[in-house]
Amino acid sequence: MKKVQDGDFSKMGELFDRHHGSLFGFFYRMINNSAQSEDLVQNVFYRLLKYRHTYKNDGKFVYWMYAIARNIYKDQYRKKDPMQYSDELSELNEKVSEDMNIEEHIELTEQEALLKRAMKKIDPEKREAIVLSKFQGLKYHEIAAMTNVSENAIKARVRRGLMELRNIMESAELSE
Amino acid sequence: MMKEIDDLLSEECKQASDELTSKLNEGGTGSEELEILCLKYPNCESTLRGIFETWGKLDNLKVPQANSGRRDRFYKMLGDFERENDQKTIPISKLRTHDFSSILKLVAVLIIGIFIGVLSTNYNGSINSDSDPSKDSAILTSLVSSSTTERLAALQSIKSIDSPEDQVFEALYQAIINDPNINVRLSSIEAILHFADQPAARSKLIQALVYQDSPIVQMTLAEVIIRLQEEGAIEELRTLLKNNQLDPEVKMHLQETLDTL
Repeated sequence: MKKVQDGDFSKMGELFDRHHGSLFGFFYRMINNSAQSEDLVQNVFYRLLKYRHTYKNDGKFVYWMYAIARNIYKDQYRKKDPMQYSDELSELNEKVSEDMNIEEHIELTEQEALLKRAMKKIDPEKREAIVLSKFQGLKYHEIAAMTNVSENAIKARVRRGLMELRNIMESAELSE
Repeated sequence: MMKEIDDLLSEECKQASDELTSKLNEGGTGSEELEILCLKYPNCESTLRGIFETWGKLDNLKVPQANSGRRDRFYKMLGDFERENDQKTIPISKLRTHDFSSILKLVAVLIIGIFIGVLSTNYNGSINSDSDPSKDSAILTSLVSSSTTERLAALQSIKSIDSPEDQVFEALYQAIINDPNINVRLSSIEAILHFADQPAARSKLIQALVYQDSPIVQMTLAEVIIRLQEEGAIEELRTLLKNNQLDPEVKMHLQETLDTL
């Protein structure tokens, strides 16, 4: 990143190669929509370039990258009206079905479908804590620093999120 | 209902659960830790096993394969960015910003640049005069495209519209307050500033201030309002300042804006 800051933009390609997959995974697990996740990934790299001067070289690049990714996510999905937010998530769910091809349908196991539905139902903050800790390889203290809350708060989000997921999945299995 | 699940959990089981997820977060399977914790907290065995199983099930959440166009899009964006950067007269690369204030100064410099551009364009009377309603309509349609790139391109095209009608300002206003992409929102402000000599354009900028939830966009709008010396924005600024969720840095800047007006 230091070289990018110094004007060598070609180095951005290396950062893209290294991190675009994990960033896509982060967004996809947060919003469950491929096309929108692709857009958000591009947006992250655009902002990394645009705000490259704000990166402090004493920090870990990945934290900074995810801090930008989180801001983009919040900018996109934070709404004034909570009901609007809820509608948006419902629309997302519908779009997922439209976006899927036959292969994706086949690959989507019942378990995965159930998990996706449950993930969509839990609070975004809990979902984010689970995704960052489980899939993005970030430690609790790192997530805490990034989200400006205590480490205990992150632990509580993960705990509650997992318990809610379990409860939602169990309820769905019972009703089937 | 979900909150009750956690509330019904004893403090002991919360502690046990947190110990387990901390171990899982550190890597490894956690199987051994699970058994140790079940022995340590026998009253919480069911909770611990439930959490452990759910954590494991999350592995079933697959992510689709990379889109083949992702890399192409990135390099196109990178190329555009490099060209744009080369054209800038402001030595942005010399700036080292670590806080909002510095970003704000940068935004302010850019805005002043835009103003100078707008004023010189107006004095020279060199705005494109061949307005085509069907072309204008196509541009506005692109502004609500699902593609960010298309929307950004549409914003560039909007600047070429001669004598824009109210629907153009309305479309730009909607983009400023609703567009999911922050860069599109900022570019929309820049686009509407090209018509800053028209009261309708200035009015939309003021209206957008209250409905904005992005700190950077809020600060950019506030900076624009100062430059325009829009006293009509005073009421909107006061309303916005009452919002407790406002970023402290933004709040301070909005207060300064209000004092300036």
